[in-house]
Amino acid sequence: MVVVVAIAIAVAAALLAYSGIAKPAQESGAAANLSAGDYAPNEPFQLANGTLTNLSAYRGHEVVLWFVATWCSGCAQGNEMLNSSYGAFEKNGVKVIELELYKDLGYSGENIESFVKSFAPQAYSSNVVIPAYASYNMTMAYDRQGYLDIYYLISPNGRILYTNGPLAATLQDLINEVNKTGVV
Amino acid sequence: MFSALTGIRLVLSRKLFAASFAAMSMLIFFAYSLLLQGSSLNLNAPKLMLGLDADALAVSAALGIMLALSISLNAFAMSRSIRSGSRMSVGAAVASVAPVMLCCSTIVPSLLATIGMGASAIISTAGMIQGPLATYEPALIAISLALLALSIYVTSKNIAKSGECCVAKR
Repeated sequence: MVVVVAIAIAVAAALLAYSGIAKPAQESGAAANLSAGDYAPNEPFQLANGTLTNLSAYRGHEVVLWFVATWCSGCAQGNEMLNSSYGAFEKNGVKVIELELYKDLGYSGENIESFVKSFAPQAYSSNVVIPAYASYNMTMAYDRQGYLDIYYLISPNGRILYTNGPLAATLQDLINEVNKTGVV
Repeated sequence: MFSALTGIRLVLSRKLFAASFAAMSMLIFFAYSLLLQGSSLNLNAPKLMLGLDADALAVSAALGIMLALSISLNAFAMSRSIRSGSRMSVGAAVASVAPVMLCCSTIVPSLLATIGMGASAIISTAGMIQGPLATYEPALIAISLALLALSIYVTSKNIAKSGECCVAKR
């Protein structure tokens, strides 16, 4: 009987952990480093075409920096949802820079461009989602906890407007923020 | 095979066990339907209901029914001191829940931080734990289904074997 109770507790604990503990932790994860109102660190990152750039190249535009790993199924899910809602970003002139965390957090998956092309083909071809690789410094600056699937909405003058994650679970909140703050 | 079916029939013919099996099936199905929303099984196909595609729905239903049946059979077996396959059921539950829970949530990096790892070490090692869980998630779920099937088979066979003696006592 003890084992049966243990199974029931394990299933209940799994649910609680996933829905009640894991997600809020993820939401607060981004805030543990940087939060709304802070200036976004101008660390370098590499676009999928090999160009080295940084956030200052996007000054004057609102951007979302979204940190993913290409083996992460939740991140793939986020791409699928983004693919069906990319119009909200496009109409507000917001680019989503999807950054593979430094060396995929130590376990390599597919390259970021093919990942984005597979799961968000329309958002990619309409140039709303820009695949890129985060440098070590950028990963440390924005995601030193190593949390997957967190994002920052950055204002045209480089301030963090909003931060949250995972994208699949909070996309509507992000769209609401973009609609509030987006400038075409 | 036949004796296994007899064991299942014997247990589910009891109103209490049949009702708890039905309730647990629903509960576990909904639990897995929440868990599998972010799973690799739930990609690249239109969502049919509960935010799940056909694969994820089928897996949630299979896990719900099989885990509930396994728990019911094990509870019945234990209450009558019959050998059960409860360890396999526990293994199956862990194997089915672990990849989805650990792959993409904050649990692994938080645990690494709790044991004293620094940020630099976490960003270079968290993926070594989470990545394989994500990559092999379908295989782990298949293993958990196989373990559940085995647990159901072993337990129900043992119930059927000892069915006459032990059930008659109650």
